[in-house]
Amino acid sequence: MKLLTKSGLNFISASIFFFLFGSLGGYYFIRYAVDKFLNNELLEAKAKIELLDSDMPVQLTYADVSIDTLSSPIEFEEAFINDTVIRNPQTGNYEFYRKLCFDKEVHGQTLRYCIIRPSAPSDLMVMKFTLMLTVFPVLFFLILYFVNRESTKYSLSVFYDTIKKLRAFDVNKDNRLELMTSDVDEFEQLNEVFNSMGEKIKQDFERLKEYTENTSHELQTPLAIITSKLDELLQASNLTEEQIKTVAGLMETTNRLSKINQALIYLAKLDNRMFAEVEDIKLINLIREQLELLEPMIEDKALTLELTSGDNCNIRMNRSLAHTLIQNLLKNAIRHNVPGGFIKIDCQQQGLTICNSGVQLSGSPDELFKRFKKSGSHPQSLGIGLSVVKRICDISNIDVLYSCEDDIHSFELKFRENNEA
Amino acid sequence: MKILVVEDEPQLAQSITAFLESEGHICESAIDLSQALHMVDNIYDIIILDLNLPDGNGLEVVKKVKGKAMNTGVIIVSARDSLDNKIEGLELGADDYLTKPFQMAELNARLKSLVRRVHFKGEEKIEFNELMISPSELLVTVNKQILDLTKKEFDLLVYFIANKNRVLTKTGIGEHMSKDFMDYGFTDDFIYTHIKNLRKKLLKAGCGDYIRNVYGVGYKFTDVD
Repeated sequence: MKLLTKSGLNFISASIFFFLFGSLGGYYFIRYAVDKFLNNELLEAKAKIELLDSDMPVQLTYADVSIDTLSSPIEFEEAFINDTVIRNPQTGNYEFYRKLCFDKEVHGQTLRYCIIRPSAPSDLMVMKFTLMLTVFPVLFFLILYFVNRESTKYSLSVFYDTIKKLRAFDVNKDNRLELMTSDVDEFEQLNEVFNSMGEKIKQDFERLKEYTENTSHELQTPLAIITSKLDELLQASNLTEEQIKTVAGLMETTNRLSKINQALIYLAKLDNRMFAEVEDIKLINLIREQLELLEPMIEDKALTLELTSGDNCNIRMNRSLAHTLIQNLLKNAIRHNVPGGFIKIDCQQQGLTICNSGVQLSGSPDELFKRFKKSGSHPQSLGIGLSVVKRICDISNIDVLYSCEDDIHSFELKFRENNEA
Repeated sequence: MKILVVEDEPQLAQSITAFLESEGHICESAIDLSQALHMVDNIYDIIILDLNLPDGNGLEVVKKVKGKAMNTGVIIVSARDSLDNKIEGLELGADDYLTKPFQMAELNARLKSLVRRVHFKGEEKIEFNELMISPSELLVTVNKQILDLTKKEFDLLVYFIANKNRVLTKTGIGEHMSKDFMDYGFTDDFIYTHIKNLRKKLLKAGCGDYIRNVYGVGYKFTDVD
């Protein structure tokens, strides 16, 4: 839930709660006040009536008073007040009245005085007051809510911008984390922290890349020395079979080391975006070219090759990368194939699919594109080819999917619409 | 041939020199750029040049040598294998580019091919007993009979003869055949298949069995038993 929605919802539910109780409370309070006022009026009238007995002049101005002579003794010594409905003789409507009755003995007779006052106007007043108490604040708060909402939204725009930029942030890409400045201190601080953090991550990443590249390069010379010395040793004429095998093993290992090293340098180069220039490439030609190169290996394993292609399958990417990509995929399809198996290549405008027979995958398919993941049965595989494939695809805006059904493996490349981006 | 080895790493320089001398060349070595620049005032047939020298870029040497329009071949040997470096070196007039680490057999093959190109304008024939190879025409004859070889087999044969009497490891051969393949493109099986085919063709044409297996670790092309 968005902060804005969340705070808005809190605001609204809290105000609904308070308004409900507030207006109820307000209603009863006004009701009580008005009742009291009405009763006081009636009591005042009563006091005046009582004065009737005296000789003082009294004027009753605003109440209807009825006086009944009762034969019974005094029933209500004290005055009592109740609500009653009386028919208005003029309109014929029943109206609400408040009535005050009290008995009084006058000249041996019991007189019952009843003073009535219409209560409808005061009820109406209570209603109006309550309404006023409710509606105006509601309006007021609604306006407040919207103003508040807009202003928060405006302040939060920086925050959303930050989130968007953080999401798009990729240490591999050549974009800097440039966050907006905000007039809200908290956001300003947050962005400052993010900015410096982004800067630091970039720096660390650069340093790491540089380190990898330098180390890899520096390693090449010692490896060259080892290789040449081993070669010298291997040419000696007085070696036993065991010694030759040992030296050859060492040479092999050294070679492997240098291959890994070269692959790492290559990956570092990919990371450094050293293959920026793109061109239109006829993929099918590239595939044919590579297949020709790999033909002896295909023949060696007696693989059947099936190549289908659409009218045009052009792709816009770096030539050297396309070369490596196709080569790695084809080599992978050959290397992990079984003797007498097949390779199916389907090249279309939208994508390229390479299917091959093989043995069932032992590890998890997700692990496949990671560096140095390999199946144990291929000691000569470095486990780096597919991570190179993945990296090239990432750079060239290609989606690469792997699927495995029983013992048929397929790699699917999907060219994104705008693959020149 | 008179060869100058420019290499700042003494161990490697020593290995290269020792190897070249064993191949019958006359070798001199320079350990830094200033020494190399000074030494190329003399005439060398081939210069084997490292680019990363302590006091500068080895490309200076290429500039100087090629500027004098001397008939000197230059093989660059560098730890940097980026295409840009390669192109820059070759554009300046270097004749070949070898990435470290390399096998001596590879350097030897490149060296011989360079010697043929530069000093014999590719006209030189390679002869080995009854075998005769003409690299410019991609032609192999056994006892004057033309042998039909694939490009790869031809390449392999030239490589073998260039490194005759040397033990060549399978990885070295694979390397040579795959050239710019980054990953191991060629498995042992693959190399084995090629060598088997080449051997079959040679034997069928009446050529001696010169390709010897060395304890399963590699091969040796030799007519010595």
